[in-house]
Amino acid sequence: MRVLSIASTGMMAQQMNVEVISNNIANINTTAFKRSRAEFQDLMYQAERRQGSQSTDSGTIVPTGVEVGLGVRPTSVNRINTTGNLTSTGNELDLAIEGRGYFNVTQPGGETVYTRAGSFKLSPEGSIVTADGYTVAPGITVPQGTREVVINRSGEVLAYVDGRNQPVNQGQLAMTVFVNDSGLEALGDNLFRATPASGEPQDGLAGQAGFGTIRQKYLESSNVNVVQEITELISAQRAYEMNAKVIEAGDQMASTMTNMR
Amino acid sequence: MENQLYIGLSRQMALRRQLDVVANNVANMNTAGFRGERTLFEAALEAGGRKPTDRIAFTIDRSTYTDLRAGAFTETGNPYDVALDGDGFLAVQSPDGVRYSRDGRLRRDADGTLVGTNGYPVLDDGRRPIVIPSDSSVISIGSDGLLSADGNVIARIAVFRFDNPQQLKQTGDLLFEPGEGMEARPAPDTRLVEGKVERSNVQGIVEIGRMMDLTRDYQAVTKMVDDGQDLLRSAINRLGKSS
Repeated sequence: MRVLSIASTGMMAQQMNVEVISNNIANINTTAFKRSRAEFQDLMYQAERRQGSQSTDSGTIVPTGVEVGLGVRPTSVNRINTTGNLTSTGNELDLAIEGRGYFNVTQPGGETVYTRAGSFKLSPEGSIVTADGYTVAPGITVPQGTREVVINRSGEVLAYVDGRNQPVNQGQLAMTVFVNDSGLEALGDNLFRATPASGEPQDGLAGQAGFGTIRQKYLESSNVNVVQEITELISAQRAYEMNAKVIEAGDQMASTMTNMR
Repeated sequence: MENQLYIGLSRQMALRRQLDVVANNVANMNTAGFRGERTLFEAALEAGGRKPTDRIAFTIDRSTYTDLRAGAFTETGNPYDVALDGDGFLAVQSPDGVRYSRDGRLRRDADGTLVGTNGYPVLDDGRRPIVIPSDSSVISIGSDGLLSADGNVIARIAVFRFDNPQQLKQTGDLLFEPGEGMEARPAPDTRLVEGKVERSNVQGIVEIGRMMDLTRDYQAVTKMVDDGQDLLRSAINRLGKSS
């Protein structure tokens, strides 16, 4: 029976919807996390009678045909790249990007990946690294005896060293923008990798045209909105239940049929 | 006598197909921009009795039609999402030609082209794809469809309407194909609402109610056919006694 397969596509779709929502909720406190949205489309339609065909009995043209849709399919899990709220942390190596752009992170293999989670640390050698210890490009080192690190809006790292009044410029953080942020591949650990869908990485510096600026001592919160997620969750759950009911109805019809004498 | 069996059968087939349509509506309850379908039935009269006036009615499902009422809008906050307030459709360039859609979940692809969920370009009022410069950061879409990047107007997202939208054919993927001779006209009365998405117009409870009706109808028809068979059987047994 067609109804059983149609309703099961609905159940599978809603199950995936719940999975995406649960990942959003799980990451509600993850720095710079972007919520995802499961997107669905209707499957093809089976035309049992084409519109515009001639009706046999009266010779008139049928204005609308008989078409039966075959269910639903997930098309994409789309990352919604709106900026999260900035929260003040007071920590001088916490950086938030206001506007577009990603920090570049060099992985141990030499590959460059991208992140907006700017909760950076100092390595034992004094270089700026991510929470996992990966170097933040271009690899800026803070000298021994630094009292204070100031990172300005364009990403220049200035170190105030003991015994000197003038800050020492240690370099400028690299930044990259993508035409289609949603096309980046999520690697986990707040990291992303460029893909053909995201467009070529466009390297630059904070504050240039089309690039965001850097806010020191702030972190970007996740853009997950609890109320929205819970609402979506309820809606997905109800849709799941209703699809299950449709399967039940289809089954009942089938059993009515088998019980006929 | 056997007519009863065939009339019952025609009704059962129609009901099963109607349940398929309900199932598709429910499956797409959370599909943005989806339009539910309805079925129309008709009685087909055929000469079946001894007198010309003794006619029998079979059920045929004449057509399905699309419920074109708008769905509710929900806020998504995503600047590329648009909901259409009015009877217009967005035009997208699919490989098979221009198709129309109410699905306003838009995005930029790797080249900066504005595309829908299928990856097909959304067309402007000159039926050309819309390319957003790669260095633009703030995108806004006005209610008249004017798309601006960093304050500069780039293009106008086209919105079309049809005089007889019921003749649009659903092809899946949330696309509508215009039938022969159908003309897409500009829809100046349809407003674009930025940052929102139009939900499916399927009302779950209504569909479940319809589904319950269907199952009961189905049981009733089955009972009728059963009773008819009983009648026939006892008639054969009684009338056919030879002793």
